[in-house]
Amino acid sequence: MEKRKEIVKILSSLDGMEKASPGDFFFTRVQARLQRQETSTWGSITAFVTRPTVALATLCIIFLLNAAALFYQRTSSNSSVADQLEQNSADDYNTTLAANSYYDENTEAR
Amino acid sequence: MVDQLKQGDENAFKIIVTTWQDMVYNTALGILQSAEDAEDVAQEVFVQVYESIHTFKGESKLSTWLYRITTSKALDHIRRKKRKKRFAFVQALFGENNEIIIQPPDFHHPGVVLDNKENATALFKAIEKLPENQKIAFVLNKIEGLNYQEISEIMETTVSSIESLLHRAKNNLRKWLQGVYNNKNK
Repeated sequence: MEKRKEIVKILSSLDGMEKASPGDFFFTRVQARLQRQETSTWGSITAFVTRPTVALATLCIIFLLNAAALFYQRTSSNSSVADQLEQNSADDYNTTLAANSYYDENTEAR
Repeated sequence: MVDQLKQGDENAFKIIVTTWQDMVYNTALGILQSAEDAEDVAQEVFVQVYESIHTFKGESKLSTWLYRITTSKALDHIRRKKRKKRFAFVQALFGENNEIIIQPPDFHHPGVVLDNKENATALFKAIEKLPENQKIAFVLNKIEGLNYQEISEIMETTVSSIESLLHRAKNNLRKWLQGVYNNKNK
């Protein structure tokens, strides 16, 4: 019984308590924090970019992009050379055909 | 006031801070049980208010929105502190960190009546052990004096689940306080 009473007393010990306040000049401290945060945003961006791991990773990405671009350029130039050769032979064939048909037409007219 | 702040009015921000600072600080203090941490979190809350006021649509009351930010920031603060503590403990195990881990002293809320100081300290010790949701609901109800409806709006849940949360919180507190009583009277 005594124990129960004591626990109820403890549980109701916050009844009628007053609100705590953060103290004077709280707004000034919030303003200072806002200003600190604004400057530290740029600071943290610079710190992040200049981290050795980030710099190394960026260099690796640039290197890989260059390698990929070079590879694609080489394969596309190879295929364009092949296309050109094919086109040339096709043109030659067409010229021969045209010459032959001209010859055939002339002989038929005679 | 909110519309004025959305337009970047510094004076509107000052009015909002001075109007709600006690509410925000008192809630944070109830959850964190440290004046220093509560001040830190209260500042963080108003910085977030300043930066994300444009996301406040006015669907709920400004006080509800402020309570939500405060409780989530306070819980984040506790989690961060626990992580730091665990890390310091692991470092101490490997002998990398020779700093002594200091246990925080008993918390005395400045608003508690002098006669209830000792009992309130025991109660705060027990509140600290409550699971996050129960702790938030109990603090909002007992320290901020909010009713179930208001708490349900802040915690974005139903009134019946708040009732159940508070019931479980009180049961847990009773259990721990019985243990304290038994130890005291051994």
